[in-house]
Amino acid sequence: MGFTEFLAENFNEFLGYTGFVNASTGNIIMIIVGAILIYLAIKKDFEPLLLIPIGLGIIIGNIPFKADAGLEVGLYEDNSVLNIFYQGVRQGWYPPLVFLGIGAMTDFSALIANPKLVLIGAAAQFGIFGAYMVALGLGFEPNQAAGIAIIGGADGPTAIFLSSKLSPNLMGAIAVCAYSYMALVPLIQPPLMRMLTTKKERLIRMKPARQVSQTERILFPIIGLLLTTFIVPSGLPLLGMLFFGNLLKESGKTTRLAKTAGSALNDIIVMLLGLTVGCSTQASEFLTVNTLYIFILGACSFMIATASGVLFVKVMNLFLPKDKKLNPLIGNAGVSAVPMSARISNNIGLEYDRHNFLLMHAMGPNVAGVIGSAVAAGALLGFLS
Amino acid sequence: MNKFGLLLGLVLTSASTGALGQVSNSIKLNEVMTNNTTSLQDEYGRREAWVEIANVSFSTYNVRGMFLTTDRSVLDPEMSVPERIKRMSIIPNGDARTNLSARQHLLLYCNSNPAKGTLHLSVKIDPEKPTWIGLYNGNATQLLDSVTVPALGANQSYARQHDGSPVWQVKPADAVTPGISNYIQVDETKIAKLKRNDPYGIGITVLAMGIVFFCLALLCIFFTLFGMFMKHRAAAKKVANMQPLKAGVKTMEKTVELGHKTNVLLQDGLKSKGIDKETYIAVIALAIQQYTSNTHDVESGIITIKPKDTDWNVEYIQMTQFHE
Repeated sequence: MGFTEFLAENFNEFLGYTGFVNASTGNIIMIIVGAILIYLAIKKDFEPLLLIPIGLGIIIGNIPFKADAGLEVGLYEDNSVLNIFYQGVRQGWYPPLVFLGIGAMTDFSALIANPKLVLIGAAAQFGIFGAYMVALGLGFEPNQAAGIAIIGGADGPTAIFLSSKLSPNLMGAIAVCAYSYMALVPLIQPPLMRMLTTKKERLIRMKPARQVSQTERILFPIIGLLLTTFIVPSGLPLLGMLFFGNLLKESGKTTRLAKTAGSALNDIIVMLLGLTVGCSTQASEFLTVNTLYIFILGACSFMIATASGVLFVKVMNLFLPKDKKLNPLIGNAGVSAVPMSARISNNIGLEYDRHNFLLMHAMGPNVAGVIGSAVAAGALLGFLS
Repeated sequence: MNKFGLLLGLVLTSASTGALGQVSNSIKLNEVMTNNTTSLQDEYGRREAWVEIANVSFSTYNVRGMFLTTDRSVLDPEMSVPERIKRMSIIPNGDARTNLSARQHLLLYCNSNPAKGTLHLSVKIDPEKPTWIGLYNGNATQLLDSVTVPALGANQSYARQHDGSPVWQVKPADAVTPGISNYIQVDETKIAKLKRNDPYGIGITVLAMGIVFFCLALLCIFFTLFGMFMKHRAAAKKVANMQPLKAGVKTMEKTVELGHKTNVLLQDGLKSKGIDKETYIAVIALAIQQYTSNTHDVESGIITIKPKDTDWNVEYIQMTQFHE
């Protein structure tokens, strides 16, 4: 073999490894989807902390390469770096760590001051079960239906946790769908909130919440953990870490730990989680009819959850005295997209009365939604695993 | 050692005892065959008595270094460890199969020679007589599990009803389960059951929503009651911190003070505001003393009062839709 032939052979071999040769139409579509998510995150400010890692993850996951070359670079290849990162999603240990961070960052005072708001967080979970019934009607297996329906909890980590246990083959689509809809909360919720409330209801002013003592704030995670996990032990990984993070924050003695859990640790996990979830959407796995159904069902569950929360507040108002009526605009916050949905309650409230600040009132059902979705996930896991 | 150190020591000791207890609860003798004529063959095609060990927990345990014996003399608590070890057969190191993951089983061949393989033990089993079998921890003193196997027919086994169950039974030759679970349940899966009984998901929805509401309602009730308790406690604390009014003493003090002020006013005129000259002198003296010894705060001596309209009492703020 002459030197020129040797060069040509190696060059041809090299070409066989490149993305240009191995690319499929699916890869190109997914790369465009990833680019759109990055655009939405940067230009439109739609949840950039989530959509930038997911968007770039989608691009990374769809860079074409020769699958049988044994390069160990793909997410689905054992021992590749991405595969090792992905184990946190597959084995379900990123979601509890995210819950630790949420617990360390969340102030439950609004909920403790007005405990009846917790019921709104429970009512909004109907979105999960409404979508579960629709998914069964579309022919999904009960475990797959539950994995898809949990998108309605508006809680990415919970959706990943449950789908990794019940329907691992749909997890990529479920995770991307859950996070995408969380980013789209400002578009999905307001029309429903306006449609389901009257102008008079939107103007209801709620009494300011009372001051909550430190004893109550310390007791909340302990009592909350005991009450919820005794009933739903299958929710222990999520609920345990959520209340642990909150106790670190409220004890007043572990500020350093709470700070780490809520900032550096949480950021690291969110980066790895977002990137690997994005990577898991390889075109061959992702571009299926099931994915389309998952996106439709996810939207359904989000809308049902929002409507349930708003309508439940209206029902509660039937039984509450005149001076203690709740503004139904806080009902949407029962889904656990913290704090976006509470912010939406506040913004819509301000549109109709520029002195009516609903943010702190909406934080009550919002954080109750986090607990509620974790309990719902635990209940589904108990029934279906 | 201080009290805290002592307490910590006690906690750690009890925790390590708990860990030992955990092993004994997890590793069990599960099935035994003493008279093997047509059942399981070893790697050399020979049929030997076997003992099955099961990890009945959901964690991984390595059973290497544990001991198996049929010699009851080791039950003597006075026997030394070297003596015990002589009467026992060790489960050797160096075989990955001894690392039992959750709900996994391990078969050990008895009446054999360890030279034939790591899972071949020299434990003697006589098929004609009832045999006591003991499983000891690596220290050769902690009995993890034991069973007395009755004399069995050919290819029968003596097995727990389920893995880890306290009930043992004789299994006929066609029902022995070496290396697998003692009770194999071929049942409809949970999901298949759900599909059959609840095809539209209404049952699960009602149940799961009920659970979510129940959990959160419990939280609501607890913190409503606790909030009420805390409010009452705060109010009680406030009252307790207030100075008790001793009516009689207070009235007397006030009367004396008023009388004194009236006297001063009558003597020194209205400008004195009823305060003694001595008091004025004392205040001035204190101020001079602070000034000279440079202990007083530096103050500008200028007070600026800026008008600010806060509308605190304007009528429109107090108006409601029911205002008349």
